[in-house]
Amino acid sequence: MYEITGKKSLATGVVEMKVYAPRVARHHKPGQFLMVMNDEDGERIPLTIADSNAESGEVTIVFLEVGRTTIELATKFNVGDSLFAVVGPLGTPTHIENFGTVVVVGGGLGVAPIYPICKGLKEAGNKVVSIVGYRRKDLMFWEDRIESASSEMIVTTDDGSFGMKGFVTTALEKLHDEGRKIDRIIAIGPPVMMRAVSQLTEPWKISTWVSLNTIMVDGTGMCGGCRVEVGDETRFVCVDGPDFDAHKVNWDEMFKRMKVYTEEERRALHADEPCRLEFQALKK
Amino acid sequence: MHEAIDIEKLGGVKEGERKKPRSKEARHEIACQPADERIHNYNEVALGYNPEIAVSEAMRCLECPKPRCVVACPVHIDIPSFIGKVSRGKFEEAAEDIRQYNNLPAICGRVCPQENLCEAACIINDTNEGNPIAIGRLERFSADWQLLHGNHSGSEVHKRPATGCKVAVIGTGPSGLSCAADLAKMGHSVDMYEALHKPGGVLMYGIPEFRLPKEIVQKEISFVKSLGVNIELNCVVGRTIPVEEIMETYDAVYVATGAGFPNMMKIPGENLNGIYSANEFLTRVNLMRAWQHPAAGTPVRKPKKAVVVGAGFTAFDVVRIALRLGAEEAQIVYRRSREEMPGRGEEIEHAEEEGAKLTLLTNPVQYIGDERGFVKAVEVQKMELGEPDSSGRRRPVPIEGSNYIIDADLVVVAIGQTPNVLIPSNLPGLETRWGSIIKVNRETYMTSVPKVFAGGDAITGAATVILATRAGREAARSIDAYVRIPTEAGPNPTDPADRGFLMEVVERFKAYLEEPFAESLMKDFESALKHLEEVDASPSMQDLVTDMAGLRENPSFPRKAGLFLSAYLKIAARPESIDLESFEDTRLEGLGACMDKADLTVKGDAGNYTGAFMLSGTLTVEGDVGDYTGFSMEGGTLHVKGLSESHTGHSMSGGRIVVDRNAHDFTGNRMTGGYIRIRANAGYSTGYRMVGGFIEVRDLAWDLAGEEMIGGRIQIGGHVGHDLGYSMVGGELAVNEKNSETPRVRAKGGQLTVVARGKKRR
Repeated sequence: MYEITGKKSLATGVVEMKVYAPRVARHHKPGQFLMVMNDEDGERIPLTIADSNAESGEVTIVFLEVGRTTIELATKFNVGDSLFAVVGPLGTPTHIENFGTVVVVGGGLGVAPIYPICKGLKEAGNKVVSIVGYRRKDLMFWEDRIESASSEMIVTTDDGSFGMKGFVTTALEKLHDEGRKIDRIIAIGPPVMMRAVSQLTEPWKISTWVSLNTIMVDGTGMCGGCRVEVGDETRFVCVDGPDFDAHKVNWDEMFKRMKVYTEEERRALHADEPCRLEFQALKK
Repeated sequence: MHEAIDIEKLGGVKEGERKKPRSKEARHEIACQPADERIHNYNEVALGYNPEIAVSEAMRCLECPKPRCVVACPVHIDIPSFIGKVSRGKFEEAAEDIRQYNNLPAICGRVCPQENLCEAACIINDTNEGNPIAIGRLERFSADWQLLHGNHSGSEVHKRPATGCKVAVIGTGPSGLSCAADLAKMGHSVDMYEALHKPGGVLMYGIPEFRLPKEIVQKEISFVKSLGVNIELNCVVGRTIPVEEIMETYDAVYVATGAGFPNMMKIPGENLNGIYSANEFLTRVNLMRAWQHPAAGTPVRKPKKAVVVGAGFTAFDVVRIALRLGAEEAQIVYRRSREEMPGRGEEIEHAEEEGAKLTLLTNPVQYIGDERGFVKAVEVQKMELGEPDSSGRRRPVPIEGSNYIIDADLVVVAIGQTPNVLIPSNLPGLETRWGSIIKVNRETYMTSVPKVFAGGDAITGAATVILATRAGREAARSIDAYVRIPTEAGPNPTDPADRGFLMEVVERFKAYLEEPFAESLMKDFESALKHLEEVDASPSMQDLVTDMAGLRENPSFPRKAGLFLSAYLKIAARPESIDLESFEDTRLEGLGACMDKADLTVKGDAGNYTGAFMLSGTLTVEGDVGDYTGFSMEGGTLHVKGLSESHTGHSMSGGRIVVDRNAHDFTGNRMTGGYIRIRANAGYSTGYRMVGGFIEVRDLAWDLAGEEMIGGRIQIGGHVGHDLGYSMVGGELAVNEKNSETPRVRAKGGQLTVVARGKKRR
């Protein structure tokens, strides 16, 4: 069993959780994810590993209360409880070497997974310029951590309540317009944001990488539910990714595939209350 | 507790009575849930025998002394013995009997294609056609009875004392479980690693509940665990634990990671929503129980019109699930005709009863989606059959201009799976075919990396549960020989008495490995290969040559030699007759090894390597013998009055071996000379890669007789199974088939004669 050793709310709907999973913690590399199952009846969902501590055996996940599983995780699971299954670290780690100057963009929840990447890139000798974007000031989290792992950090908020007003792309465009030397861009966040970054940087001819978070079942290359077209070839996000060359991703297809279970998800959320009660009763 | 079994009431054989078999009666059909009922539930379709019917069916069995069913069974279950026990009301003993050979009887009794294996070989077919003993159903009955009423615990199983050797088994599917269970019985400490959250592999995620209840799977797995096997869940080897860590911790590793990577057709529109790989669809429904959504967390698309591409086992499972999910229409789309469908007869029947449609000689060319990215139709093209391809089936050829549209809101692509590349890509030096199928020595299951063995779908691509089980079992024997030797008290090189024998054997090995045997064999292979290049370039023959060259470095070979050598030392006095009662282990290995100018009679059963390296004289065994009987023998006569397990006469160059009863697989494997006579039946791959000499099988030789044969002669007197002369390039293979049906022939060269009921062909 995988005990929850820490839990705190970072912002409205954003939860940070520490879970005891020593093997995952020991072998985790930046860019990798894990699969979580709340209980035996639960769904397997992929979550990016935001941090790990090999000594204490803990891994940190940061998630948004958005679907049935994450809502349940946020509301019903507390420190001392255990998760039914945690498996990882999965996926190919982010490619890290000394590129020169790397701009790492994190939007919203995407701020969490860029933390180990910034750290890794900085250790490899890169100049790391991070851009972290939030909708409002009260939704900000981890900007202190990112700052410590970067050479330079820019914060944006949609409404201008903190830092630069606008989106992460506003900041990125400004950097480029200033004529700053950029050798590589890594962007993680909501799909819409990643596509916007991709479209922005394509004319610049700067290698841009994104981390895709598609629907998965096993997370080990077995089902192909996560498949996405990259450069005219079907790739599996769970094993070939999650990092891909942003300019080669078929974004339209990916957007459609993300919505495959919206109807079922809605039904599940609605059906939840009575059904959950029945389940609890059964378990007692 | 259950009620006592009243054998008289059940109509079976009473204690002390003789059985009067009723083989002329028809076999007992199995009760099934009615089709219109079962498509609304996920409960098991085939209901199984009750004790009365089981006993009545068992009463039909002749309990032949030379059973064909046993050689046709991939794991060689002693079928007449267990059926005999069923007919006498000893149901639990029957299950124990099966368990000696197969660690997953309740599973194999359900999903094994018996109609192509044991039941096809049953002698009753000769006189009462179409009514062989229902062996599979009786296997299921016995195993279920034990699971329900019996003392089902591995702690009571006879286990060898702990050896202190540690083996890792990667993957908890049928092959891994079977290997782990056998290794545990052999006294080794076994850790299994499973990537998913439940053990069982394909048994859990692949085969649906209505065909194989998950409760049964978990019960069989608890049995394996009760033998002392440890299972680590949620552990992806190569990710959660690096492969190097496994390599450092264990004395041997068995890779049984299956074939979990889905093949897709790579046609336009395949990534539309509602198009699944069979793996994803099955995993959602079977493992994650999506049919219970939203009570279970994982959803699956509920179809109105479902199309399933492919016609194997998996495709039929998928189409039947689609119907249970409420599909108004569910059809199989298959590019060949009904005859070539690889699915199992019973499953096809069940699917059709449930309303599945078959659209044959048709192939999808593209998928059409709606504006939201969901599939709404499939464009297909009609096909016709052309010339046979490498699999022996006629190749489908597209008919131009025959395209049409089939409406579909769910498409599942079930055209096969290949192994996952995670292990091969993380294990330097591991040789593969096509990047993912692990290459092994077909006899030892050793890979190109020392101490790493592999089996099951990981070495073949997707196949059946029973073949995976068999690989697990055979690999366990090979791993046992590999890890055990260093810890056992073998000959002591510092003792002058032992030293003399050791030197003698070392000399023999030199002769075996270098001059003249290996060289002459290499020459034969080279000329065979040259001949082959003219006919057809086959990768398997290329491998064969590499394989032969690799024999010199095969580390398991000298280790195995140590085994029979130590036994030989125990009986160094070479008495004329050995009464095995006086030995603790009655299956002593290496009896009569290196025998020269002596006569020896063994009263009772002997173990592996009986008569190995024998030079002259007569060795008689009154009971059964193990594997590698007459291994590398050069002269003399070896007479086995009982049965001989696998690899009888392996690499023999002279002398005679006579077996009065059955011989299992690989009889005369790699032999270069001498004579083997099997007075009953032989199992799989008789004469595999033989170069010279003569093998005579009196009755039946099962599938793959003459496989990759290069020279010499095989004569088969009764029946043969499938794939006769598979990839043979030389030698003579003569069959006198008593059935009117001619077997499927797969030879590439050599001389193959089949006389079927007096009619000669080829």
